[in-house]
Amino acid sequence: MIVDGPRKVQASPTGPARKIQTVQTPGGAATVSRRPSGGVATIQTKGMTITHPLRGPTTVVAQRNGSTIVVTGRQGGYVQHAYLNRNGRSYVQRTYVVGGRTYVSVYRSYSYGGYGFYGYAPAYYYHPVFYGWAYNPWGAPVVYGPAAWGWAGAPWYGYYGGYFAPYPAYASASQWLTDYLLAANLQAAYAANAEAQAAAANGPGAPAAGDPAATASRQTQLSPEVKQMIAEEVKQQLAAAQSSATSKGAVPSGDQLPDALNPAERIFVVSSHLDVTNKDGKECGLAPGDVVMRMTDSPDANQLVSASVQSSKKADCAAGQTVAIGVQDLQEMHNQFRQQLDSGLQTLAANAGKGGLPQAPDTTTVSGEVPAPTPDSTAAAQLANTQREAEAADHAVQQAGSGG
Amino acid sequence: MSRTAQRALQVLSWSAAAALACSLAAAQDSAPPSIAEQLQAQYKLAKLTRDANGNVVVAEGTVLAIQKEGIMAVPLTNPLNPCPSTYDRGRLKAPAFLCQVAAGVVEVQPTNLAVGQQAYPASIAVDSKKDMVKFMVVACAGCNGNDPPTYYKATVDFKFPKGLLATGDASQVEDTIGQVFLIDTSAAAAQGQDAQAASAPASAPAASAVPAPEPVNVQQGQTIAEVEQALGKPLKILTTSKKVIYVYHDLKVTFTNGKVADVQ
Repeated sequence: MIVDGPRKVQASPTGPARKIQTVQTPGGAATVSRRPSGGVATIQTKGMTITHPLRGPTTVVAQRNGSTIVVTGRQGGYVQHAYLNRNGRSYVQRTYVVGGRTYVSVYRSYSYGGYGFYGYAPAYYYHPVFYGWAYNPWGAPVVYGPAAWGWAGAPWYGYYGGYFAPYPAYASASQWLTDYLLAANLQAAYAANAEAQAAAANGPGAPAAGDPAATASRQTQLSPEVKQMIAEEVKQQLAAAQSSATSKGAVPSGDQLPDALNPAERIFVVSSHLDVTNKDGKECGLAPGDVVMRMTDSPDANQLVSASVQSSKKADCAAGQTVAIGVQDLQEMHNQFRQQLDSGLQTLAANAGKGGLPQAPDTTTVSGEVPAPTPDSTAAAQLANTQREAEAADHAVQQAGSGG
Repeated sequence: MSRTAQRALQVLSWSAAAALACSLAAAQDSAPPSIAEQLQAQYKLAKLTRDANGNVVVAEGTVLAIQKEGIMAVPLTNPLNPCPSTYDRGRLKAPAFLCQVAAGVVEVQPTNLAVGQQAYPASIAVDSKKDMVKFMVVACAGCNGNDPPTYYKATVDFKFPKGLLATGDASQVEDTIGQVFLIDTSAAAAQGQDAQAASAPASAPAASAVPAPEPVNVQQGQTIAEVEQALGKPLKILTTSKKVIYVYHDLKVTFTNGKVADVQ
């Protein structure tokens, strides 16, 4: 039952047009925002926000007993809760469950301008000489093809073949890590799209997976210039990690500028599906593997900054568009970038001296700011429960909306 | 402030300090955090202080919602700690009869905390040898419409399977505590939802982004009505002869002569 009719229509520049309704369902009241087309954009009910992005899987953010539970479709998600307070700083832990694999990360919480932020806190650092080895050019270029990567024959690699072309040879670890990062995000985008398509059955969406030739012909390739910008960002983060390793992870306390607004960091690789608006107020979607450049350093009253789309896949916001992106979303992209970089360094350290990769110096590690937490043993169950709750709420809203 | 209230504060303060000291002692930078340290991060303890008139003021901690019937509580002014209820394998057991007799509970006017009533954690102590977490709360009487506010304290001993508290995984411990004392974020969540629905932000919440707190827009000199318009009704109102204090989640606004004098 719809309790009240559409009561508000919001237009750009502060956001896309939305019709807001309160809907009474058997499980309680829900606030539903709809796009002008009538499609549901978000549902808010019982401490839970269900988001249906333009593309990609439905996502759910729920608050339960002090934990934040984020479900990203049936692929998984994470559970976040307080971890510990040390040296005047507060840390949270996130237990990710993705494709049946569980891993845990730590974030330091801090504030800036009255808003809370989370910054990735590595559980360990390598010896500074290892970061130097990864930062500086290798002695000779290294040929490390798709077969060595393990991508040859992978569905995502064929699907995004028109967008992503690995370096033919790697002059440095930063280039190798750039391809590692892009591949990780494109694999995530492929898995999410496949799930969204399965859910939508015959509905509109991305081109059917498994038709790489058709897809490749419609993709605009990620340019060497944009890849170089990412490689430079990789080098910057390697230098920052080396500095942190040298200073034993010393970090400032109190208010600090989030990396999302750091004037020295402008390039961001999109790590999850995200709806944004362009300067005309029209919505478009960004997906993992797209690349944006932040254009403004100060957020507006809605905590949005302007960004230029540097590279994107066919169905996403077009390259060259200027869009408004939330500072929190940029910070999350940065955090994911740092996490993926650590994962890439781990792979690089494990494979150094093999498959044509040069030998690495000291690959031993020392502990980071705080010890690595024990993964949340209840995370998978919490994600599954939240997914079920969201599906029930979604169904109830659809029923109420259709007069059922 | 009465001597009994002072003694009650001393007892509770000692309990909280002892629990914190135990946590900090175990917290070396390189050492994995203990369950106690993780619980201290998850549950912000209420602080018990006195105002200018000597009244007991409870600075709120994490807001908890009572989930089980039968938790016996005694007035905060009682100098003795309450007899603990026990929570074991999903069942809440009343305090031991002998403890009640020894404490003279009939004389101290015990009450049962009601399901849905709000409370704050006052102290948390982890006993790994006994596989137990002792959890004391102060009932947030002001949150339940009582005027003047009255405070009660209660303790629940949570029993865990042998060895669980040594694993370092606090999630199961927090889940079990949540079956009795559920962290209540409904007020903050409701405010966030309303704000989001009203402003319809340009970007949908990213799956990976955690909702950030909304900015607080309260300035010195604003009236009570203006503050209520900006922040909504407070969780509780503390009134003294000279000041009115509005307590919100993570925010305290002090009015003098009807105008904002301080924001903490």
